[in-house]
Amino acid sequence: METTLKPSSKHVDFQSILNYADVTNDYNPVHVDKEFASKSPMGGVIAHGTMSVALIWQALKNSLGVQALDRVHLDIRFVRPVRIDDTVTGGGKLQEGSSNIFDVWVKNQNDQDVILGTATLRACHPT
Amino acid sequence: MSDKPLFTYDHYEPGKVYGVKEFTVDEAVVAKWRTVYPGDNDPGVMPAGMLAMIVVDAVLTHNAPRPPGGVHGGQTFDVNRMPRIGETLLTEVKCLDKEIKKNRKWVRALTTTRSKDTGEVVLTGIMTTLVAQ
Repeated sequence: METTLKPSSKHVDFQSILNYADVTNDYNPVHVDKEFASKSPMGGVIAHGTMSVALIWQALKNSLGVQALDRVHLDIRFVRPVRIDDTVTGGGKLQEGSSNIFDVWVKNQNDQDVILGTATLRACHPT
Repeated sequence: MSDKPLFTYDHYEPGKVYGVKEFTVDEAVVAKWRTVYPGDNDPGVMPAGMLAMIVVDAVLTHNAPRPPGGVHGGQTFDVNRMPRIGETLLTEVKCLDKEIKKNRKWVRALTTTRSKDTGEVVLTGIMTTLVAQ
């Protein structure tokens, strides 16, 4: 099994944030309204957190195969906002001494963590 | 614009089930997803990133309208199997708990997603949200 997940990246522009809002029906103004967001505690538009989670799923799928996703427990925290024009990369690494728990992350272009967590692969279901 | 009152922190009741949201993973909704992630194009396979879409859609349907400006603080996804394209899912939304920490109002919602046809649980999730004041 792969011990380091193949990274997956995305450049986040304002249009992609608007598209993601449309996909999820999540029009929270902190994501889609520049004026509102600038006056909020976030100090500007931030991307939906779950938008970047997709990069972790892609890294898992591209490294372990699509069938591995049928038995994953993913537990993540959003630790830093993703801003317009950030480039974010999802990846992960098998925990030392573990055969099934990956530390996973999404980092921005400055190598700052934006998401941290773990992905645990359960044993295959008996057939 | 909805005439419903805002669904604020005070409205969350731990243990309360708010309802079920139906979501069909059809080609149209997958195509919409691919406007954001065009590389998620494995034939017949629902992109895993869409799991968040299913959870958020259900929570925003039942715990809404929200005060603007809330933030998603954390999330778990416990996948029993990935949903299939063409499958219809039912997601139940329940308030797990809520807590005020350092003057911030946190709520955790438990979502349970089942196959509409078989009742099989395909996904459970816990969405942790910082509710806007």
